[in-house]
Amino acid sequence: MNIMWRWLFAGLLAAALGVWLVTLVLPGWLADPQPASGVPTAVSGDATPLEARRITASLFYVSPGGDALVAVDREVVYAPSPAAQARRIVDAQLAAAPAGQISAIPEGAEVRAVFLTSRGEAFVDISQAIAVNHPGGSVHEALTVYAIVNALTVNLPDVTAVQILIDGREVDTLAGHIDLRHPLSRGLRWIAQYADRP
Amino acid sequence: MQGPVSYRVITTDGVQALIVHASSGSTDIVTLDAVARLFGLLVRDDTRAGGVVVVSGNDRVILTAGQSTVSSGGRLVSLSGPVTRAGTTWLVPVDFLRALNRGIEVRRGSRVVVVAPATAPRVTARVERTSSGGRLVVTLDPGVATRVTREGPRVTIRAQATALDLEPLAGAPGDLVAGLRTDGPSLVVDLGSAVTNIRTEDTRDPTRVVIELVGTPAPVFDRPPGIQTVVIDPGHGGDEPGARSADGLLEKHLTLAVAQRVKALLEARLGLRVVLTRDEDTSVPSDRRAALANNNKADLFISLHANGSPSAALRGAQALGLDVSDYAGLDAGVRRQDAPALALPIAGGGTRVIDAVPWALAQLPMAAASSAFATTVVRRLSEAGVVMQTRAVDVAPLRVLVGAAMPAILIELGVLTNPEDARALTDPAHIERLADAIAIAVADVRLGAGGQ
Repeated sequence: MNIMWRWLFAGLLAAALGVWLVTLVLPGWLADPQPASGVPTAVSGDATPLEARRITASLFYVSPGGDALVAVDREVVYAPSPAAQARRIVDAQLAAAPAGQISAIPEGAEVRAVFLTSRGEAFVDISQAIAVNHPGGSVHEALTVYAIVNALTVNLPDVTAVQILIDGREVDTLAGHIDLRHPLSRGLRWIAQYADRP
Repeated sequence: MQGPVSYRVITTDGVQALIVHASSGSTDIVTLDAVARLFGLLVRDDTRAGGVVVVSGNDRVILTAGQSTVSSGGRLVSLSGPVTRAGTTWLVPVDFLRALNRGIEVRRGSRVVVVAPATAPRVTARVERTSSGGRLVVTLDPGVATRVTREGPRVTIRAQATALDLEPLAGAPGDLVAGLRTDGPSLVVDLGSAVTNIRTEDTRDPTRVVIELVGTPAPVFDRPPGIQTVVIDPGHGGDEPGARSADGLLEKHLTLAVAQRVKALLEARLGLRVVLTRDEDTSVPSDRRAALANNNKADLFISLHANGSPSAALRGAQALGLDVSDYAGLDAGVRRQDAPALALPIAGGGTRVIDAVPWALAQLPMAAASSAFATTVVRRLSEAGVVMQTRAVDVAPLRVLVGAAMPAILIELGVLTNPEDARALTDPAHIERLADAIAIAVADVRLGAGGQ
């Protein structure tokens, strides 16, 4: 009997701890390194109303001239936390391009996870298809990298820099050109309308 | 105003003109009167048959209006179009001349008529650059005996023929061959200003004349202080093929071919020491490429690449420097250019103070010199007629340049995903043009005109 009460008490304590964690601690954690992957559907508990909400985000596609990005407004599923929203935006950026646009992202590349740090850095972990299927060329590679960097830095004020990881690991480059060993900040000069590159 | 179109009629008595009356896609039409005047023919109306009879020596050629065949000495000869009549004027396709049984050859492409026993070989000429200057290759079809003579800046190739049927020469470098024309049976070549001497190769082949055009030794043989060693980095290699053209040309093979040409030119013309980061189809890590330049105390680092774009519209060459302004991790303190000095022990005791340059920042102090060198390369490529991208000089966070502790650039030789660029990049003459322009740009740096 005693043992049963003890278990009950422990259970209640655990439940209270759980409530405390969710209401007070978790919001603080969201600003710290926080994986948004692995549980993509669990990001919003009651999915239906949240799934229905959408935000408008600028996503980036290849300009007709082939040497810059163009921003296109697209609807992205709303997510309640910056990390989850970041994940949604990168998912949308990696999805097939809308009609009439050319994607800068190699075929088959998928988001594995997106992490945010308190310093405003986003770590975007992508499947190795982004490197293996990359057709090469420094300009194509720059457009691939900056489509992702800009999709996050332009749409999310909390994100100031982005580092791309492949299969969870830091990499040198995608295809031999653009240095991915540091988080890269927003690259406006790769966008056609700001493209007065030096 | 352009005069009337005419055929050059080459006979042993000289060259005459046969004016074209009208031209259609498949044939040129001339008047029978003009043909008769030229060849001394007698033309008689044959009212019974509704046609005309042409008497050529002992042969009679019978023409009928509306017919595409004529009867010549009793045999039927078909023509490329019908014989027609406009009022009193008879019109015939130019290949009617073949029906005259006089050994007449009609070349529609070059609008030449050769009347036996006259001969007029077809001549094509091509000029290519070489490490010692250039080469003029003349082909003759059919092959005939030739003799090459030179008088000052003019070279004459005299052929044993009545005349020459020369295909116009397009796109020859003017510093090697300034002009090319025919004068009777001779091909007259005006040498460009860069040529100091010529050497005729003994081809033992009557269809080919090859003349080496020996160039002026470039003034860069002066030895101003500056560049001693250049490291050239053929991009990609091994299991990293890089970009590829629709026809399967791989970036890694192209960059190696151009690198080897640039190395040969720099060694031969400037006497520089040139090190390649790879001279076979192997994979080399980025840091090892820059390390090779640092360890060899290179004065310049040139990484060769070819571009690719998701849009086939993008074409043109480019020269890029390093840009680290997007590196969020580098704060102002780390970016400063003054490197810490370290005292290191040396063999035999004592210490030596050396400047330690953090690897990740080695290229930063070189930004201005690298950018100037990129500008020089772009200028020289443009002058050589290479199509450039709209942003011919650009910057990007390029991995391979980061660790290079000397002026360093990445040259995109063209865009392999563009059909025109891809075609040019398979042409050996274009490869030579690219290598030559890069070598000249290096010479500029050496002379202090660009770079540092």
